[in-house]
Amino acid sequence: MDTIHLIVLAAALFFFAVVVAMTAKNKLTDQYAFMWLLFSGIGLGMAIALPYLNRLAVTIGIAYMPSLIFLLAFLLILSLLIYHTALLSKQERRVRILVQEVAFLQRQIKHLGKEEN
Amino acid sequence: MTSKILIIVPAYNEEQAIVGTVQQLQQFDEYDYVVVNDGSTDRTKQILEENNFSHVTLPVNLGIGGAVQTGYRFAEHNGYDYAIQLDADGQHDPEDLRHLVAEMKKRNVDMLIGSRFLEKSNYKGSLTRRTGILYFNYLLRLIAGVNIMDPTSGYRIVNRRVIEWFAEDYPVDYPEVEVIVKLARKGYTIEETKVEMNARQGGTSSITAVKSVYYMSKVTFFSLIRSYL
Repeated sequence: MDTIHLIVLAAALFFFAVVVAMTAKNKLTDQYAFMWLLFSGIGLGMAIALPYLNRLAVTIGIAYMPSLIFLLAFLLILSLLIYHTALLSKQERRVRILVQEVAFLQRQIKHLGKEEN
Repeated sequence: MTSKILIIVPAYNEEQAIVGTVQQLQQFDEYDYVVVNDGSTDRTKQILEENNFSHVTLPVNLGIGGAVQTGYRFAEHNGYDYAIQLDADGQHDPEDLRHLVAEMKKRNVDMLIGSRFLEKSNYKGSLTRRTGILYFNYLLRLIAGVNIMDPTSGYRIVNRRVIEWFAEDYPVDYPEVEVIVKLARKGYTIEETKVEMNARQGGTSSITAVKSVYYMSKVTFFSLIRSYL
């Protein structure tokens, strides 16, 4: 195992450990924790399979292996971004409903206050 | 049986016009109204409270779609049969309210839009605005199969069925045209009737030149993908 393989493997392991620790301490809620465990697992898998990625890159016509890594990383980050935007949209809808309901409650409270006086 | 009718007045920074608009509405005893104060930063909230006007104040600004939807949710929660949207800036003439309600009941449609262009009216909009309106008229004919002469008019009345829908789902911004597409594509009936519109009593229009390009692109894009996909 050469030095770079060891460094990549150590980095992937460290990242995986961070995700597991954050999940254990409830710093990530279930939905996000699962997603990050999945992605850090993929990262770890790729770090282990690093020597084989050269062969894969050549097979699919990529002359320079790190380009394959960047391509995969780019696709992974893109899918993460779209997933987060979808979640953000969902949260926005929920916040809107909450704001509306809070406004209705404030109105009711004011009316009740007036009735009591 | 008398129908319960709610007039929804979305208001954002309308301190200059709101008193005049609400006082006109108060002449119509047969209708309820609610001003939706969309997190205004001027004195709109104080004016509504001081004058004891019926209102709901949103703690943060939700934008026109969120404000109007608040009105529909209010109508839905309180069992209204019909809801009418009316701008707070005084552009919509309350004198047309009875006409809108009478026509709505007579025609028995799901949505009736108050139109400036059905007959000759006193409305004089800018060339950009008129071009936009014409564009949306063609767009609606093309993708929704309805011929609405004044698709951007916010002066409209809907029945209970539509109130329930809008309470659940309403576009965030520039909702007027998009909801027509949605309703028409789902088989809801939409018609128009002639109304008068005045110049603004105060405040400024939210639609600038850059925004109008965004408006047209956004509505076209969303209407197309939400209609066909």
